[in-house]
Amino acid sequence: MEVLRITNLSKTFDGVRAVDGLSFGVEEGAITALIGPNGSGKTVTFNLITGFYRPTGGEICFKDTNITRLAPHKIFNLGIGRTFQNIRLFPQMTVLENILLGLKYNSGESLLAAIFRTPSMLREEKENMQKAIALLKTVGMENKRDEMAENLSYGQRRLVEIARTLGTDSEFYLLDEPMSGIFPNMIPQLLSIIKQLRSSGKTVLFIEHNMKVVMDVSDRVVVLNHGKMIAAGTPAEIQANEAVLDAYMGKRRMRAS
Amino acid sequence: MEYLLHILVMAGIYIILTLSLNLIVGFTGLPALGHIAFACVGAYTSSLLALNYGISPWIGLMIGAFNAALLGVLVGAPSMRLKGDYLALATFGLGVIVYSIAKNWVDLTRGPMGLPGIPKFSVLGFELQPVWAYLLLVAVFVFITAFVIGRIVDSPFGRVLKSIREDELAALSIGKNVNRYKLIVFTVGAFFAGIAGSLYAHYITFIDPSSFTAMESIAVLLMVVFGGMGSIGGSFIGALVLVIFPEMLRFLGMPSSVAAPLRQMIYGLLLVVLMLRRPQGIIGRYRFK
Amino acid sequence: MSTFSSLPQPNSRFFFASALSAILGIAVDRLVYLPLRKNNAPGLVFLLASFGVFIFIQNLLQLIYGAQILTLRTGPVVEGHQIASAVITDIQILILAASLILLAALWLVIDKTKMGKAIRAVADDTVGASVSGINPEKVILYAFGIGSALAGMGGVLVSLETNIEPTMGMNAILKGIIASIIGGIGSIPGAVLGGFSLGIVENLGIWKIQAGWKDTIAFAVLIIFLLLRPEGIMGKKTDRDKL
Repeated sequence: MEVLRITNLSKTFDGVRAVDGLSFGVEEGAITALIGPNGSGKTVTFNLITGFYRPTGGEICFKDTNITRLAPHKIFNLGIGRTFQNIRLFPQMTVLENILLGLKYNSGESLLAAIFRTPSMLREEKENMQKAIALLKTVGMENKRDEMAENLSYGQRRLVEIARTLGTDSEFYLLDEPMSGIFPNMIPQLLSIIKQLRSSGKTVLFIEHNMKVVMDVSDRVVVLNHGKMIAAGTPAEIQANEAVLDAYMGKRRMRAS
Repeated sequence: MEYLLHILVMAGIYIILTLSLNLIVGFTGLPALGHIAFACVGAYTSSLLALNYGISPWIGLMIGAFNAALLGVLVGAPSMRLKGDYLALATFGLGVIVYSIAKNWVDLTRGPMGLPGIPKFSVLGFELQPVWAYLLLVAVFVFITAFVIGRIVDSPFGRVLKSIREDELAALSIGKNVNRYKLIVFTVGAFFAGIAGSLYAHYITFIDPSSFTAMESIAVLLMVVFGGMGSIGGSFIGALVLVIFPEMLRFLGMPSSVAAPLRQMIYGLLLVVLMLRRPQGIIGRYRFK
Repeated sequence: MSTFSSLPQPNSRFFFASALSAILGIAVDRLVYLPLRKNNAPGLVFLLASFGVFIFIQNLLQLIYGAQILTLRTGPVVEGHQIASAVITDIQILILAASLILLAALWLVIDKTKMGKAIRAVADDTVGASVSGINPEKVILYAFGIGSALAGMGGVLVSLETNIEPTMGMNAILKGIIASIIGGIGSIPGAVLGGFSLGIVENLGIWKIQAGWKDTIAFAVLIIFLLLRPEGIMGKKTDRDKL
């Protein structure tokens, strides 16, 4: 079953077509990789899905809801969590605060709960604190919990952002180059996190340049070039696809296999 | 002695203004340049209610604060989606418009002639005539303001405010309804500014539009920045220093035609030096972007 | 009233004032804005610092000249020319003509000269401009010089028609900002259109209600534009994307 369906999507910046009549679907409960040469429109597609860009044309449906022109926070609340290619943490807040912000609060984030310090808010805060620490442990960052996010290294910030997004408990995760800047020894850990998401029934769509990673974890691969989909299929099919090889020719050889 | 107490009363009123503006500017990162407009609404509401309908200043203060909050909602709802400099301009415009209404709607406000004879607060039938009594009253309100705003910023709600200040887009990406939070904060800030305005009116017992000029909004903003954006203690320091310090110029025996512009020049110079050397303020740690 | 009489004749006063303004503008840029640019200071810091500069200069003038209103009259008050039902004086014609000449000159400089192109390039993309061999600091210096000189000339022109006082600057800044937003920031025809539209709307407004409401009308127009068309009449509609 498809959880996300993109139909004839396009986005133009000052006359340049970054995404040009793009159509593809994402299978529920699967890991799909979105690949393509630089400038092929992968990140723009992410920003269109999550409402950060307004499409010039086309339609995006998540399950049965048309989300094409919804505000980003509403799209999030339907169950779509994301990370950013250039990492967007809250720099002058601690690592722990960054994680807490991603967690679900039922009543705790309201004004009255803040002024009256309601017991339900305090309880929620306590529970979330435990969850946040557990999340930091999964990415090996628990000893940095009180550090300001701006003082972390690039790779550490990437890990914190991933942990924050994991904490949102979304149904559908969009991860923009989750492995980039990560120390190689953390990569197996991240891969197992992504696979765990799949085994708990979540859907993952991720952008990745490292073909080894793509071939290792994805169930399906969607290939973009010049804002269009040029191929889609299993990793094995994609490796054998002529159009894909042409697209990468002269830019980046496929290194896997 | 009386004079010293008077300065402290004024400092207290400015602390309330500074704290409420710090909530908007320092903790949430919204450049608001018309804060005094809300004090103006609070002051005129409770003064007019007291003068025209004999309504107790206590009730007037509450209605004044609610009126200010109402204005905050009405102005905030459409303008919270404006970005940075544009929001600064719109809020500055609000300040000018409210001032201009106070000055020109003569039938209601008596315009530049002002409203004399505003009654003082009474407790159990006793009017708060002595300055020390009024200082106690203001201190209670300063405490309430600091307590409420302190709790707001030190909570999951306050955490969302800071996240909006840090990176609005990231806050959106984790589902925070950014504009709603901004509007709530703007309204709460307006509410407390309304209280400050009403406290001022019933203390001085005379108000006219000249107390609520655009320069006054800038002065309060300077207090926020001087003490430290996003710092409760900073707001106390900012308001105290910048209210008390210029008063000392008087003791140097300068005529007011020299002291007044000199005081403003010092404000201006201080603002420039602060921005160059220490934009995070005296005790603030937050560097704004 | 006698403050200015020791100075030379009107024409040279005009150039004296604009030269002084240009020097002042450049000095403020070097002393305040250049260090802020080096610190990579955010917009709000610039805004507050410029308020500080403004407050300082205004009160310095007040300290020197006092708060009283000065008049700068170049001759006896004469009757104006009747055009339809409007009356226009010689001085007003002079102000209008001078403004048009200055505008045309500014447009020529910005649109046709090398420096003008450099100014536009820096405004558009500072990093890109410096990569292509433009020294942004030099360009900013010129922009401050030209902008401040024009402001000085504008001040002289205003003083021919109205009284001058130290606090007159605030209104001028605000009306200037409002006019440029209405017209569209970065567009010279837009600035002209914005200035005229604002003047016309304000004065049509006070035709029916009292003159004191002028500022209210101006800011109401500003807020309407900010909410409905922040790019202004002539401005390019920017993509309202969030990233």
